[in-house]
Amino acid sequence: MILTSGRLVEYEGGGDETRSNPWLAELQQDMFVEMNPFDANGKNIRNGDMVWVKTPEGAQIKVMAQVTERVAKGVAFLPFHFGGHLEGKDLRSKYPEGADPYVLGESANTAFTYGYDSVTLMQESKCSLCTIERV
Amino acid sequence: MLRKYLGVLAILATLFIGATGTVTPAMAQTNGEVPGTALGIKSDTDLWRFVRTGNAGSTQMKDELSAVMIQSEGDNWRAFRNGPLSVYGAYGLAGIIGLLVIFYVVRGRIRIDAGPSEDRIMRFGTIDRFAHWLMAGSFVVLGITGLNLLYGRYVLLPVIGKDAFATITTFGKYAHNYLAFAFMLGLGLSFVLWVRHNIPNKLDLKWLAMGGGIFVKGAHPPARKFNAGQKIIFWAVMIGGLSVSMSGIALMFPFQTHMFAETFALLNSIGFSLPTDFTPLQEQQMNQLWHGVVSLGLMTMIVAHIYIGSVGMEGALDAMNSGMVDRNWAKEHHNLWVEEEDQKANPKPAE
Amino acid sequence: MARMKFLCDAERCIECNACVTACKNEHEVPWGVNRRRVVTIQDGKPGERSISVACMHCSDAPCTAVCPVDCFYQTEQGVVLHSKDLCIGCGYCFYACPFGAPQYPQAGNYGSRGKMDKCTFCAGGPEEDMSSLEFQKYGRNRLAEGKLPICAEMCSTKALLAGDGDQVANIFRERIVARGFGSGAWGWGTAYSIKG
Repeated sequence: MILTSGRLVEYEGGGDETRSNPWLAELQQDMFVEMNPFDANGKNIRNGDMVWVKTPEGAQIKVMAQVTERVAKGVAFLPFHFGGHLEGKDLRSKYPEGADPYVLGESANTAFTYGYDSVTLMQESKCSLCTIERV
Repeated sequence: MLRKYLGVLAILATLFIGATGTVTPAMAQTNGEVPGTALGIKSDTDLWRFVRTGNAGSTQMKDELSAVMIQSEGDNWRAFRNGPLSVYGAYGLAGIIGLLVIFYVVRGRIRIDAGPSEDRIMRFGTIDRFAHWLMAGSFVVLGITGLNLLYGRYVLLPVIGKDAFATITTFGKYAHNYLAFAFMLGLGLSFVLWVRHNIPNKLDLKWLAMGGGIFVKGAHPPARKFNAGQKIIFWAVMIGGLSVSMSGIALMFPFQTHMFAETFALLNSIGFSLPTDFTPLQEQQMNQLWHGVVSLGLMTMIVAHIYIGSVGMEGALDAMNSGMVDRNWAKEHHNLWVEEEDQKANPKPAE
Repeated sequence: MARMKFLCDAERCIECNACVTACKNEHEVPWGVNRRRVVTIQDGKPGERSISVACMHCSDAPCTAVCPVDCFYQTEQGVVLHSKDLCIGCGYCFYACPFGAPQYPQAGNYGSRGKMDKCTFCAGGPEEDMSSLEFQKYGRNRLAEGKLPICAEMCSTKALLAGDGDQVANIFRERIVARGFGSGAWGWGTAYSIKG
């Protein structure tokens, strides 16, 4: 499946500031992957299930599935504002005392393939590949 | 490495080209009408009907109930609670009190015809009386605090003012919630202790046919430990008490039960066709109304029960007070029970 | 006297939740209490609509009718407010409210929901206007400062309107007349090749 990433309304950038804001954090408490109902049905995934998103680099992230027609068939969308989970493990204890944001989640960029712009060396985080399977 | 990269590129290219084919360019040919595919629907009425009938959309809030934009059952609930429930509840309570006053004026206190004797017979032991008073005492407080929640605003608040009323009602609410468990314990204990004496039998029909003997002086239909009237009260209290307890628990742990859905499903299996898909909020609304209906019904009955057990009948209160009743009273109202007790105390030798 | 009302224009609401965040921030509303929320119908599909919902300050408020301790009152401007001192946390106002406006600090374990909290139209409560006690209990009182609710002020598309009911209705009527059916956003005609 094609994997792409993008922004959410509630958070900004890496998310450490906005996920530490109680008003915003309450609005988006879970990291998620948007997938089309056609693909979700094929993989026996329902809205709200936890899934592994695995990419050709060998990375895997554990996120909640949002089954929606917003994305086309064969496309998956990840928001990139989350951090604090690594391959399914919660790393809240690693944060300095009192510095952990309210909401933690898998970091999308850890899953993206190692492609980069040859001139600017900017990471290619808008088109990648993945497979998604239920936890 | 390069091949892998080109391969990915090729896949992405085909997908991209293929993707454009799925987006319909029909929008340009709609002659000024709003493109149906862009807005999705030409008319909003279906969408608003969906909303108006209480269906759920989606929301960023975690609470499941937040996704419902509008629920109209609340208005029905309010109309029923402030209307028929309050009105008929008041009529019922006022009515029974009125009836009892009339009965007392006309019939007077039911005396022991043979006059009080000097002998006593043990009717209810310590545990019987404990079970009864645990149940009855908590019921009285539950009833009064419950009535306060329904009527207090109109009856008591104007007298003592908002602040004092709010304080009293807060205490009342806590009393109601805590004593509920005492009531349930007493109810269960009473059931276990007395169920075998309350099984209906043919004797009850005779007792009922004679009207329990309360209308005619000197009439004493036969009865064992509990007469038909008491059995009616027993079963009403047990079934009603169970029902009010269950709806009460649903009210104490809101949005976590679906007893109405389950009950209706059960009824549907015997031929009814009742709805079973209720939102947690609808369940709560129905629980509250049912709790009110059953408790008002129970209160109406218990008022009569209290009357007959105290003012209404000479010798009756002893049964639950000390447990020892006047022998003449027992012979007149529960003759067969007296015979059974005597038989147990002094068993006649077998012939 | 102006009768205060909300109106959320479903054609303009983009579910940005700015109203929600503004309200939360202005009144320091605790986690779990949602004075205002955005509900989206047909999420992700064509025909998606969102509406921002909070207390609608009804003229014949069901919450007022069912409260066992009569803790609600309506100001001269038509704003429905309540007293947290009198509230016993019974939850009946939530059962009655068509919009699910009443919120409680506790989920209701063992029937103790805590004091009810809801949208105040940024008009505080029975405590003295703009006092710290009023802020603690009910949030900021913007109406006493001559301002309008923060949610409508923050709305990014001016979908949420709040203020004098007559004026709000006029604004909405003008919009309907101007745009007809469909988004009033600039460029609609160009984007979909429709004149005008």
